[in-house]
Amino acid sequence: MDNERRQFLKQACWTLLGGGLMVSGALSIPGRAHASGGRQHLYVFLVDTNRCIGCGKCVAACRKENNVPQESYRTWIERYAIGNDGTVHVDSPHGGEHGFKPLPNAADIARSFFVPKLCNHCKQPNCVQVCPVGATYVSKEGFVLVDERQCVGCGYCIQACPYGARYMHAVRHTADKCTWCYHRVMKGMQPACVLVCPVGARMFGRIDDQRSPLYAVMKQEKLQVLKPETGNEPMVHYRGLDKEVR
Amino acid sequence: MKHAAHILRLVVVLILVGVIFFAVRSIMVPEDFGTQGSYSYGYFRAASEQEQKELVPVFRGSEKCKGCHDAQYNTWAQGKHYSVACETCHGSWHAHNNNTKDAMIKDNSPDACMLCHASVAGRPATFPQIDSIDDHIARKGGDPKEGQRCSACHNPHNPL
Amino acid sequence: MTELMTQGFLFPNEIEVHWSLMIVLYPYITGLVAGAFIVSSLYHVFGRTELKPVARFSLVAAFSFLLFACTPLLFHLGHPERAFNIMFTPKFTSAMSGFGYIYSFYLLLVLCEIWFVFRPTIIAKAREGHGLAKAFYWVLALGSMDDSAEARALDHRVTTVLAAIGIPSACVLHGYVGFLFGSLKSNPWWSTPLMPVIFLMSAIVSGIAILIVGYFIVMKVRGTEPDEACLKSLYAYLWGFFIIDLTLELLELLTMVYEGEESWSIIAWLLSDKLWFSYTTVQMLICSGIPLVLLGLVTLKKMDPLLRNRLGLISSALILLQVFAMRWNVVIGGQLFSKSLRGLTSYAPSFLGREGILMAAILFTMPFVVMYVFNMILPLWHDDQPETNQA
Repeated sequence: MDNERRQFLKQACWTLLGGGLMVSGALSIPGRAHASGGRQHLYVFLVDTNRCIGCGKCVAACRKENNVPQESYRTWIERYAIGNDGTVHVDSPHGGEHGFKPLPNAADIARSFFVPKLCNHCKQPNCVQVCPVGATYVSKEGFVLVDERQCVGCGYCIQACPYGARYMHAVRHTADKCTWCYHRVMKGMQPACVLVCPVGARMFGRIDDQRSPLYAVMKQEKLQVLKPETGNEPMVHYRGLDKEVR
Repeated sequence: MKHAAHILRLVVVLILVGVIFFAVRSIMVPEDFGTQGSYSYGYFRAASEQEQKELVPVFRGSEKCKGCHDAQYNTWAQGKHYSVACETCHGSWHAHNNNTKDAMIKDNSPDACMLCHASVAGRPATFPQIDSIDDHIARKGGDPKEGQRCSACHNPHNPL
Repeated sequence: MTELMTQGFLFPNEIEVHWSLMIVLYPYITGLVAGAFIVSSLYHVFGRTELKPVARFSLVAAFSFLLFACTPLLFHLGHPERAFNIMFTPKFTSAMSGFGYIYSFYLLLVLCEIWFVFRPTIIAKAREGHGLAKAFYWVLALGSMDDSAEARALDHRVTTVLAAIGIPSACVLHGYVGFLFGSLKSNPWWSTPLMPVIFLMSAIVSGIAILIVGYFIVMKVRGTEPDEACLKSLYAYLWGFFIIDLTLELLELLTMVYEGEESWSIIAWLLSDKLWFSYTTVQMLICSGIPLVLLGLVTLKKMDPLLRNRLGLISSALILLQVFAMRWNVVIGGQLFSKSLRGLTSYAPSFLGREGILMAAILFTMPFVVMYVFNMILPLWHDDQPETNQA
């Protein structure tokens, strides 16, 4: 009921916005009735911030697996160090790819932890919403992907992503980001970062797959997502997320 | 309306522009574009999904190493480093198999160990970590001056 | 090197600013289009006859800027050869996707209006001319040499209709640019429903200002006296629209300060550090305060035309700078802080290069070249051509 009204409001807004432009009628726009169009969002990425040791193996493996250009990051690790006086120090040298150095004034630190970041493959991704040419989209399985042959390289999606997950590919000149290793997952493998993580801080799987290690965690733990206020419904879930993490 | 002939000509020109545009558009847009249901999320070139599926994985998982490296595999599988995949330290299977056999990283320098086991702000307190190798060796009754490596006491495939 | 450029913490993909000087130039030029067109419509639709001296000039100015409005975008795109994707496969959930169609529609509309306004001139040229020139003007007239009183009356009616359609189109063309920024929830410096209105108002303001400056320069070059009534009217409009524009800009800031949301601390840092010069000093103090006072004096006080025009010209120039600073502060400013709200990065355009200062200067000069060429083909100024009953 509520959902229906929301759908209606959404539809009405789009009709108003797009209506004028589509008078030509020559643009083939297939069924817009269902927002998700049969898309499933059963895959979940789970990050356990209590386990991450900041070794950077995931960042390095991601670069190799996906040929990520230097200075760009599909995934990265942030370190938070909250001082006894409440000051927050955050760093991520080279995205944590070469690990982290000890901090100078360790005695003043109240708590510190690592937070791996990557594309959230949101259920309502606003990068997909803002792409003017249909170059970024949601696959049937709920992965947010970029079509490098369609992308014009305007960078609007990079601006729209609340998480800084996207970058302009220095070689292809198109927008690029983490795919959750779509090419691996579709072959039944784990994403490269999950595979190489030595401490199991990264988990990936389907929420309906009872054999997956993720299944137990999803059932037992209290989980959080980044910036839930965006309404993007991110699908990377965090265990033990601190309030200082944005 | 006798004097509207020039307006008619303009309209014809405009229609012509429109027709040419939509003709070009129909040639340029791939047939599989926007065939994936939802306009919000499915308006894209359908072949792109398949293209991405076909990318070749670089990391293949520890099971791949078994056949050739049985001894190391078995040691590792029973040890404390079982949570650490072969490729985490040794580099990707793809690099090892597509280039030379040398492409496999075999780094048992203290730096390689300290990447994970150095005491660094941010690491969970429960994770085994040491402040300095010298102190660690001294505490264990060794002599740091002898320049021992971690692997002198710890088998990287099965430490402790 | 990157450490020197940044302060605090940024997500590693945020260190580089993606939308460069070109994306500053694009809304600036588009704004000039919208503003110039509104002035021409004040004459064609709303019957502000005192604006007749600049009616043709403003229409052609709008056209010339429009021709180059999208060039900065082409220089910025990673794949300019795919630019037409925006019209071939537009995805209307994106604010940006409207660009291709809105732009093309508006370009055709302005072209048609120009054609109707200049038709008597084109026909006269076709009659006078010889050989190639004659053929050229004949083609321009689409081979129709009907300039009878009835045909002109019809043209006049069509022009009015086109100008009337043009006003909302101009508003859409520029309001959409504002919406493009204002609708991004990821960026607290952009995300405000006021953004489209602010863009629209600043567009009108910049359009009027460039017409005033342009009109002066042309009159100086031609050695003619500018029309005082026309200028007085332009100053009044400029003042009025600028008051609305500035009010909205201040309202946006005031709301941010007062609400003091999570993002305010980083924006306060941004405004007092990276944007201290371009926003606080240039946009808000010098280039807003001075024109506001001067234009008030010009509009409300009786004064000598020479003094009035000097003050008006200074105000117009400052306002052109104000609007450019506003575009800069929105586009660049919005990318200088991290979406983690924990740090700032830097941006300085290179001089050379595809998205550099030189290229921006060339692109900005091109509309004036177009106006010059246009004037050679079809004279813009009334004393150069037979008086017509409609333009």
